[in-house]
Amino acid sequence: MKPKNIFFSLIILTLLFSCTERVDFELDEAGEARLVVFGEITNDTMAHAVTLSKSAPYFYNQAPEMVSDATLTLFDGVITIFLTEDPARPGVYLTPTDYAGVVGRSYQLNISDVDINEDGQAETYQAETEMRPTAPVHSVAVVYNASWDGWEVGVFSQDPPETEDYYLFKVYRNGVLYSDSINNYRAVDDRFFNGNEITGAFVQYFDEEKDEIVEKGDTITLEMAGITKAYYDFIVGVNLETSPRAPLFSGPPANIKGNISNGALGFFAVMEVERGSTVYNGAVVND
Amino acid sequence: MFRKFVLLLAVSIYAAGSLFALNDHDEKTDRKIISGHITDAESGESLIGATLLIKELGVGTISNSYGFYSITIPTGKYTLVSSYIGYQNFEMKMELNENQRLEIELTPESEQLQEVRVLGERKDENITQVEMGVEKLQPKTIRSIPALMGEVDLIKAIQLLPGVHSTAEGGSGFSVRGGSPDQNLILLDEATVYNASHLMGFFSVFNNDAIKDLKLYKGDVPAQYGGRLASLLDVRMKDGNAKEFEGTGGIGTISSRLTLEGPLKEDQTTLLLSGRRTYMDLFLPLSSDEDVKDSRLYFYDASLKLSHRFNENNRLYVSAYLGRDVMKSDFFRMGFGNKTLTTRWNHIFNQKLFMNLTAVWSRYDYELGTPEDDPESWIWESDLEDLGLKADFGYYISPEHSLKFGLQSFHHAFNPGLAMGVGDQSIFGEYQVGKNYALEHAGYLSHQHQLGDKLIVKYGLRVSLFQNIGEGTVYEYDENYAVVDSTTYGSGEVYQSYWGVEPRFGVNYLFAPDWSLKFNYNRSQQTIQQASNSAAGSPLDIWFPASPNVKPQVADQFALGVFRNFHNDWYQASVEAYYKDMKNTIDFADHADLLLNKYLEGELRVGDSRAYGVEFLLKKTEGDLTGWFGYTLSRTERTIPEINNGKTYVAPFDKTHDISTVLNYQLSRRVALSANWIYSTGQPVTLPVQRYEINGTVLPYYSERNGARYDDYHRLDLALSLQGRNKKNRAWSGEWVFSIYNAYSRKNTWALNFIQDTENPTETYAEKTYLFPIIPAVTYNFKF
Repeated sequence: MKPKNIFFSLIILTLLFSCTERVDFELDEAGEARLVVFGEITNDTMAHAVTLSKSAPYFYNQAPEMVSDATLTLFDGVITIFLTEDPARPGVYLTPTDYAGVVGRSYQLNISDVDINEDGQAETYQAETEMRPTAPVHSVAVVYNASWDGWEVGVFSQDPPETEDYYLFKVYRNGVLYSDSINNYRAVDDRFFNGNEITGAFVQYFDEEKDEIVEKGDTITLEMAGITKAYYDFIVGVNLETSPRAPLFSGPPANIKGNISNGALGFFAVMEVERGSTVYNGAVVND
Repeated sequence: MFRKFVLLLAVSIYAAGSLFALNDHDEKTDRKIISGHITDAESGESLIGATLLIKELGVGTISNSYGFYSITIPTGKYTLVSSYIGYQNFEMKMELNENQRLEIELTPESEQLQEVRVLGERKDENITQVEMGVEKLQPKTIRSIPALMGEVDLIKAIQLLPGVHSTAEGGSGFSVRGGSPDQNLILLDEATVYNASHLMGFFSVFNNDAIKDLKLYKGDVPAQYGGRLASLLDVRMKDGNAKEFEGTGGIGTISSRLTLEGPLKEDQTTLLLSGRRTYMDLFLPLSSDEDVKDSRLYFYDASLKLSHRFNENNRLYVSAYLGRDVMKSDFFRMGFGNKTLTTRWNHIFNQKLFMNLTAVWSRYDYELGTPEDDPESWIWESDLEDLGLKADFGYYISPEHSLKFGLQSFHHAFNPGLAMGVGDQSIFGEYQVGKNYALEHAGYLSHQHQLGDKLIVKYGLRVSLFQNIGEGTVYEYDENYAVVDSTTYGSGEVYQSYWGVEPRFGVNYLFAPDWSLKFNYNRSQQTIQQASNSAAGSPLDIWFPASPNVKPQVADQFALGVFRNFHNDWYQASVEAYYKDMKNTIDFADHADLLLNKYLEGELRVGDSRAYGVEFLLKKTEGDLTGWFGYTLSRTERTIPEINNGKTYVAPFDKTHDISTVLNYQLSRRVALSANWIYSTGQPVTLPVQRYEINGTVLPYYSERNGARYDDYHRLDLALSLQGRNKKNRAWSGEWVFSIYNAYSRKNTWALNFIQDTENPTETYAEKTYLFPIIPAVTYNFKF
C-alpha cells in the first residue's frame, strides 16, 4: 500500500490547473550552526562510516563544511571501539575493518572534542540505538511497469507476526549502490502485511523519466534491513520534507527528528541486512 | 440508551403540550393570539425571518425557520404590517376579538428589481434583533456574485463576509473568526454535512438552485445548536413551489443543473427535485497525456424535498441529499460523498406553542483503491454515520416573552478506516482502525425578554452529555505518546462521559430607532473533530470523537457590537469586536500520521488558543448599486507545550487584515454588472532557516512554526449578467452570465516549496505554485 502514490496522483490532478514559478525569499536569520551526524552500521564485517558536518544558512548553496578532529567512540554493550578519521575524506570517521554489528545489542555513539558553535568550549554529543533483526530475502523480482514508466523491484520474504517491524530497502545495479542518498531510500512498516508472507511487494523503483535505466541482463541486488521505529520515522520525515507540498495533504513543515543529543541533527542507525539478487529478464507489465 | 431517550422525548412532548395548553386563552389579561405562516404568494414557499408588526402597539414578531409566527396582544383594532426582503409590504387592518389564524402571503417585488435589491436582512432587523455576529444570505444574492468557473457557490459567498475567509485559494473550506474548518457546524435541513466540498475542495456541495435560505452564526449560536466552537451554517432547502410547476436550471462551463418543483396537490403537497453534474471529464480524452486521457473526474449531487400539509396544525417535510465525487484512472480510483435524510414534523399545539420534531440521518464516506486484478490490489474505506432525534419547541408567550426549548440525541458511528488487499493472491492483510461509537445528548432552554422599548435580553442554557459507548478499544499512552496498554469495552457499555454546561447570553440596547449596542457571551463545547493537518483539508480527513484520551474542546466567546443604519435603512453599518478563549485545542505532532492509524490519539498535541478581532461592515441594500464592504482585523494564536518549543504561534488560519468588497450594479433592466475584490494578509507559513546534508540530500531546518507569511493575497472577480427579453406568451426566461475569476491574473501563492536542484545538487531554491490565473466562464441560466 502506497499512500504516497495516491496523494501524488491526486496532487497531479489538482495541478492540472496550476503553474509554478521560482521566487526569491528573504529568510530569517539562520542562527548558530549545528552538528550534523550520519552513520549506518550493519552486520557486515567492514569499516563502517560516520560522517560529521555542519549545518549552514538555508541558501548557503555550497557543499557542507565537514567537522574534523573529533573523537568518536562506539559502545555496543560488550566492547568500546574508536572510530578514526579517514585521511582521504575529512569528516568521515571509520570503524576498524573487522567490525560488525550484532542483532539484539544496544549501541551508544559518543562524539567529543568538537566546537561547532565556536565558543571555545568543546561540546559532546551522544546517540543511542539498537540493532533490530531483518526478515529473510527469499528472492527478488524486477519488472518494467508501463503504467508509470519505470522498473519496480519486488521482494519475496516473510514478516514475523509477533512484532511491529520496520524495513529499509536499498538497491544496487550491477554492484553499484543506486540508493546512495537518503531521499531514494524506501522504508516501510508492516502495518498492512504484519505476519504475512511477502510475495513480490514493490519496494524499490528505477524511474525511466529520471534516466534511471535498467537493461536486460543487469544484476539487481536488493538489500532489506530491519530498522528501529525511530529510524523509520526519520526516513519518513526526510521523504516528507523533500517531496512537493500541496495544501490539500501536507501538514506544516517540521524538523526531522533525529537521535543525536544536544541539538545536533541527523541520525546514527544500526541495522541487520539481508540481500537477494536477480538478473533482469526484460519483463514488462501493463503495456 | 437511545430507546430511553425516545421515551423521555415522548413524555416531554406530551408534558409540554398539556402544560402550555393551560394558558391558551389568557382570559385574565384579555389577550388574543394571532398566528399563522408567512409565505411567498407566487410559490407558496415559507419565508424565514419575515417580520410582522402591530403598528399601533409598536410590537412585532418574526417568522421561524418554518415560516410560523405567533403574537399575543390585547383585543382591539390594529394595522398589521408584514415585510420581508425582496417582497412588497403586506398591510391589513383587523379587529381582534378572538384568537385568529392568519396566513400571510407576500408578493415578490418584480423579478428584475428583486435580483439586485436583495442583500440580506432588510430595513432595521439588524438593529432591533438581539442576535449578533449573524449573517444572512439569500440565493439571489449569492447568484449575483462572480464565481470560479461560473459555479455559483454559497460557501464562496460566505467567505466574502467579514470574519470569514477561505482556508486555501479557490477552496471551499472556511475559517470563521480564526477557527479551523472542522469547528463549523454545517447543517442542511438539520442534517450535519461532514464534508462540504467537491472536487478536492474547489466547489461546495450545495446546489444554489435548491436552497431557500442560509444563515451563518459567527458567534451567538442559538442554544438549540452546539457541538462546534466557531460557527453554525444553517442551510435550508426550498420546499418546492406549492402553486405551480416550475423549473430552473443552468448550463455552465463545468457543470449543468436542473431543478424541478411543483405541487403534487395544490397548497398541500409539494415536491422538489434537483440535480447537478459536472462534465469536466468529458474533456479529459482530449488531453495529450496518456494517464490523463483515461482518467475520470466528476461529481454530482441530487436533492429531493417533499412537504405535505395535513391541516393547519400539522406539516411534514422530508429532505434528502446525495452527493458524490468520482475519480478514476488506470491505477487508481476514489469516491467520496455525503448522504443526508431528514424527516420533520411541524405541529402547532395551540396558537402559542410550536413544535418541530426531527429525525435525521447523515453519512459521509469515502473509498479508494486500485483496479482489482493484481496481487497488489487494495481497497481503503472509511465512513461516519449519524442518527438523531430532536424535538424543538417555540413558545410565544407575549410580544415581550418567548421561550425556546428542546431535547436532542444523536448516535455517531465512526469507521476511521479499513484497508485490505483484494483477492486470494493479495500480499496485503487487513488493517482495521478501531470502529467506535458515541452518543451526544442535549437539552436547552432559552428565553427572550423585551424590557421596555429599548432593551432586549436573551439568555439560555444548553446542557450536553457526550458519551463514548462500546464496542470500542481505547489505547493508553505514556508521556512519549507510545502505546503502553489497551482496554476493549463491550457493546453498549458507556466508558467515558463528558458533561457540558453552555450558557448563552445576549443583550441589545436601542439608543435610537436607527442605532443599537449589543453584547453577547457564548460558551460552546466540541466533542467531534477532524484529524486534518493541512491547510486546505482533503476528503480523506477523518472525524474522531472525544474519548478518555481526548477532552472536549471548550470556547468562551465575548462579543460587543454597534449597529447603525443610515439614509432610511439603505445603508447598514456595524462594528463588532470579539474575544474567544479556547481550551483543549488540538494540533498535531510533527509529521503526524493521521490516516489509517490505530494510534491516532498518540499524534494529538493539546493546548490552548485564543482569537480576537474587530469586524467592520458597511452594506448598501437598496438602489441600483448594492453590495458591501467588509474589513476584519484579527489574530488567532495557539500555545501548545509540545509544539514550537511551547512558544505561542499564530494559528494556521490567522489573517491579520482581510478586506472584501462585493458590488452589484444594475445598468439597465436587463443588464447587471458585479465585481468583488478581496485582499488579505498572506497565510502563515513555516520557512527554513538552515540546511544540512545527509549523504547528498539537502534537508531544511526550521526555527519557528508559522513564523513567516506568504505574499499578500488579492484578487478581483467580475461578472456580467444579461437577462433575456421576457416574452409575454412564453414561460421561458433565460440569462447569460459571463464571469472572470482573478481578472488581473494575480499569482497568489497556493504552495511554496524549497527544492534541491537536480543539476546542481548543492543549490536549493524556492518555488511557488499558484492556481487559477485569469479564468473566464460562461453560464446560461433558465427558468420555466
